[in-house]
Parts: sequence; C-alpha cells; structure tokens
Amino acid sequence: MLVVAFLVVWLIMQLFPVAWLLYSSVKTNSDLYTDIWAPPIPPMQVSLGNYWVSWTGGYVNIKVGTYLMNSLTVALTSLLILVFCASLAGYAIARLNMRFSSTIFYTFLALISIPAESVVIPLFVMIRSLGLIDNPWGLILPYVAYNVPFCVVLARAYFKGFPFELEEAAKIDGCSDFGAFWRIVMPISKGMLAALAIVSFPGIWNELLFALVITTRNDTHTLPVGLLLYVGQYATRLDYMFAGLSINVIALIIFYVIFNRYIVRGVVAGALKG
Amino acid sequence: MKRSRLAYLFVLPSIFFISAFILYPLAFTVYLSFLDWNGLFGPRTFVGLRNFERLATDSNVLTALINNVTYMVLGTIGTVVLGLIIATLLDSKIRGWALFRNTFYFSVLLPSVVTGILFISLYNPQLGLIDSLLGLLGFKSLSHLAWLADPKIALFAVILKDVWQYSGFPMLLFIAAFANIPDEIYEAARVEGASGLQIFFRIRLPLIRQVLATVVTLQILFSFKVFDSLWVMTHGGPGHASEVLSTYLFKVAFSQQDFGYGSAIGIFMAIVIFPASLLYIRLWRLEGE
Repeated sequence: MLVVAFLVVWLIMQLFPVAWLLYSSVKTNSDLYTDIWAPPIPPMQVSLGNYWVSWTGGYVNIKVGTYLMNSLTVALTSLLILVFCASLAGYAIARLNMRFSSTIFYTFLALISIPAESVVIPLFVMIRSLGLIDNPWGLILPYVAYNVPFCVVLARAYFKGFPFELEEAAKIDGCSDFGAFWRIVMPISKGMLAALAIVSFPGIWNELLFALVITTRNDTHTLPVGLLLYVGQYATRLDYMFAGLSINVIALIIFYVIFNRYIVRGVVAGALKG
Repeated sequence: MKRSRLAYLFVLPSIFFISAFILYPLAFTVYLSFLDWNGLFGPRTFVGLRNFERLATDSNVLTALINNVTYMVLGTIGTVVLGLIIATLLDSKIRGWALFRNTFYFSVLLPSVVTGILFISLYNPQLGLIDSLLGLLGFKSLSHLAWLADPKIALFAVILKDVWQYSGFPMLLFIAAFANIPDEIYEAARVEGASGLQIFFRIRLPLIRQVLATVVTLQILFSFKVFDSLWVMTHGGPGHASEVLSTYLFKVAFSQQDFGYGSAIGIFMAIVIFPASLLYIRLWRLEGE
C-alpha cells in the first residue's frame, strides 16, 4: 500500500544517519577517509578501540567517559530537585487554599517561554560570583530553575484531576495536610513524577549554551560541550569522533527503549494538557 | 485558614528557583544593557542608551533577525507539514504503526551537538555522502555543493537538518489529536462522497485547530531561541551568513567581551519573542480550564 511505502521511506530517512554513525564508528580513520561506504570487514579494519580511546581521552584528552559521568551527575541531581520542587508547588496550587495561587500560577506559565539565551550573561556573572563556575551546581541550579515552570504547570494539571476522596479519607483518620500529601498522594503519583523527570531529561542532557559558558575546564565538561571539542581539531579524527558521538547516541537509545511509553505520554500531556 | 501556611511552604522552593535564576537575571540583563563592561573585573561604565543605538544600526543584528525569521518560517512549515503528513499516514492504524511512531520520535531526543556534527560529515563535500546519495537518486546537478561553506546555502542546510530531526515532535502531538476524532466522522464524509483531500482539509485540520495552533506557537518560540544547531554546524558563518540572535549574543558577550552590548541583544531577543509567548499563554487558557 502507498501508506506503507511512504512510511518505510521516511523510516529509512530517519534511521539512516544514526545507523550510518554507528556503522562508521568502528572503522579506522584512514578507512573512513578512503571510502566512506565500505563495511568494516577485511580488507578494511574493524576498530572497536575507537570507543576506548574516545572514552578515556586517548585522543587530545577528549574524555567522553568523564563527560558522560558529568552529564549523568548533573542530570540526575537536577531532575531529583526539579521533580521535588515542582510537584510540591503543583500540588499547593491545585489543592491547597492559598491567597495568590492564580498569580503565582500564571507567573510560572509566563516564564515557560523566557529564553534562557537572553539571560545567559547575568546568569554567568551570578554563577561566577557564587564561585560555581566549573562546579556541577553551577549547572544544576539553573537547569532546575528553567524547567520548574513547565513542570509546575504539568503537576498542577495532574493534581487538579486527582480524586478528593483519598485525601479526605486520610484527614478524617487524623492525618495532617502534609501527611496526606506525603503518605497518600505522592506514592500514588509516582507515574506523574516519573513523567516529569523523563520529559525534562532531554532538555537537560542535551543542553549546550549554559554548559559551554559555565564549564571551562576539560574535567568539568558535559557531553555536549565535550563532544564539540572534536570539531575544532586540525585534522579531524573521524573514527574517535564518531565513537564519541555513538556513545552519546547509545546512551539515549537505552534511555528511550526503557522509558518510551512515559516519554510519549509525557510529551503529549505537556503540550495538550491530557 | 491554617491550610494557607503549608501551601506557601510548598511553593517556596520553586519560587526561590525562578526568582533567583530567572527573574533576577532578567532584571540584571536590563541593568547590564545600560553599561559598558567587559565582563571581567574592569570598570562598569554607565552609557545610557548607547548599546541600543548600536543595536539599531548593527547590520549583524538585522542579518541575525532575518535569519531567525527565515528559520521560523521554513522550520515551522517543514516540521509541521511533515508531522501532519506522517501523523495522517499513521492514523490509518496499519499494523505496527506504534513502532513507526516510536522510531520517528527518537531523533527528537538526540542532542543537536550529535546530529549537528553528524550532518557536518554528511554534508562534507569531500567525504561526499550526500553527494553519492543525490547521485543515486538522480540529482547529479545538486552534488558538490558546499552545503555548509556557501553563505547562500548554509542556513538552509542547518534548517534542513533540524526539520529532519524535529518533525517527530509535531507528529506525536498530531497523532494524539487525531486519536480524539471518532471514526464515524470520516465514514460519514466518505458516504457523502468526499475525497481524501477534502477529508483532510475540511475535516481533519479544522478538528485539530487548537493543537495545530499550539504546535505552531511552540515552533515559533523555539526558532527565536535556536542556538545549538547553528553553533555546532556553522558557528553563525560563513562570515555572518547564518548568524542568529543567540549566536551573535554569545559571540559579542564571550568572544568580544562586551557584556553591555550582549545584554542589549538579550533584551532585544526577549522583546522579539514576547508576542509568541503571549500567544502561547493565550492558547493555553483557551484550551479550557
């Protein structure tokens, strides 16, 4: 059928660049420059060592392994704090009686579209005066801040739809407000919390601008910044570069395979409100 | 009521974060834009509106703005149209459609750094990948283009890559929106003798109006902030051919060490984005609360 034909064409177009990247990452540099298409079988050589060199920084000290760890640390910490803050705020706005809840909520909503690019200069100055340049917290704090608005909006939407009865039952049994929240609502909302984290993850993992500005030392770079180092080199070593890029891609493939369902649900919920 | 106090405590951490790292820097940007400062520990001199005068006469800013608008128009049309087409195709619910959908969305998650560097290689005239592909498809005349080195083409080459990468996002939203349309409507239309195209333009599109508007608004917002792809693939070059507001801001602030002028550019960016932000909020409220 024509439908299938078009879909297959687009499938190939989508998969080809990434497949080609992985395919090329195990070839040697000279092989890549000689013939870009040749498969890594004899007489061409297979070079799995590319990954090792890329990971450990054997080439011009570009240590993808270190960058991966940095990105992981920053991402996980940011997500933890983010989910905690946003779910609390979302719950408060949706459920608890609070005088300025509307104003506060619309502030969050408006801040979703603030371009971080516009304020990178003062942010840099601030982070510098806090002594957090080259410190993961110099990234974690802004990352949390810029993802809070969207997550609060999502969390509030979720809590608005949460059935009252559960909390009321808990309170009738003598639970405090906080107790009802912590012991009843939160455990049930694990899915939403996961969705918040998963939806915010790519933005943090892939972030380039702040990371470029805040991490100046080789040891502190995150993946996007570190991988960029491959490009400036005098004679680009495609083999190590492709291996480095592939490491990042493989990490994301793993992430995607595990969390696929949540991602799809989270993105749709975020943009369409359910 | 006693309840209020807990609520304030609950929102406090979030309010702290946005105040410290969004609101305060925003105000600080405005302050900085009236200064002449090299960002290091030199003097901060008040120069009034001089940075803004420079902004008004800087041809690079104009180029950047035009490029942002070009990106916005082509990027939005590209991703939305592609997303619509694929979502419509997948709406036929053939077997394995979910697998297609999942695969198509994956590229959205990739960092622009990775896809950017990847496409630099693909576009490389010496390595000749796209050239061989084009040759294979019969477009021999298009080959040997200096995709990223030609000032007339560079921006479009980057836009093309971004359209390839990000169409999955509108696609995902449209799939969800289409799912809400009951099949009976299509059947009724077909019974009345409507053609496929008529069904698409007169039934599908109008019924997903709101999602369409939201998607377009989000894409517009994104195109004025766009940084990663251009920074990685062309650095705003060759010359300033593919410069956008964010890359120019970055260069002015961190290469030329001019924090005052850079901040002015930042303010300009925020002003340019502002209408799209308002639109987004308005659409959000219209979705019914």
